[in-house]
Amino acid sequence: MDNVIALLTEHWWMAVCLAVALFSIVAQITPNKVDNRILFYLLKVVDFIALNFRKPTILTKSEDGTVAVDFDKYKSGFIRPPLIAGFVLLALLVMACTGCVKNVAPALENLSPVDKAIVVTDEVTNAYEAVRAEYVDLVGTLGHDKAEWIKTNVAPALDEGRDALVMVRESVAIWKATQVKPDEYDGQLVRVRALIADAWAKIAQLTGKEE
Amino acid sequence: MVATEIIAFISAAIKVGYTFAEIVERLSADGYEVPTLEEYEARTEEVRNLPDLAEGK
Repeated sequence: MDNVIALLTEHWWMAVCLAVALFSIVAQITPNKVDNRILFYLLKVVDFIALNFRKPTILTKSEDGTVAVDFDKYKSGFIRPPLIAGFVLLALLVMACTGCVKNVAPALENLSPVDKAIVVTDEVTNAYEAVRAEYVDLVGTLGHDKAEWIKTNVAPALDEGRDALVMVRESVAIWKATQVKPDEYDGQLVRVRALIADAWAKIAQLTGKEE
Repeated sequence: MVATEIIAFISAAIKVGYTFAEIVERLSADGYEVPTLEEYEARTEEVRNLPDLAEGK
């Protein structure tokens, strides 16, 4: 296991690019709007990491929509934090899941605006609960310094996220009961999404810290 | 970062990623079952009753 971790640590950039290339092949086999949208965001993340971590651009897009890895351009032994890429990528998936669903989700097509709001806020709640559950698990696993850091920096964001989530859910309940959309709903939803992404991004920062 | 922490982070990333994938899958499928107002408000109460994490310091 340690050897695998060491290998991934050394060659994390290649692993990320290979994962994206693999996903592009899967997306090509089962084409749909969601896969294409996720692939679009994955490529943006790869560009972002390449720019900020001074990594070589080794992904090339072919005419059939798949992405290939150019092994000749790859050089190992760069900057250390191997997991940040994965966490940033997942944080972006939060956005994709909760932010873009209005446009791409067939499940919402035939629903009234208030029912769409119920579905979206319920799924945002699922995302929040997933991040919160992982926070609780991580706190018990980390060393003292990192545990203190995560309690100081992530816990307040999650508590604020819970309160904001309750507010947006109450707005939707009022909307459903009165059939009048509250003015503050859109802003509240944006805030909740931002807080969840912020909490996850802060957990991601921790992967690059040393004791 | 020690191996146990790396494993914990990878595990967390996989589980959260899986949850997000499930969300996308549900929203991509037809026939989403919208909860009733009562069910929705009951879940709101569950969220409201989640304990403060910052107090757990």
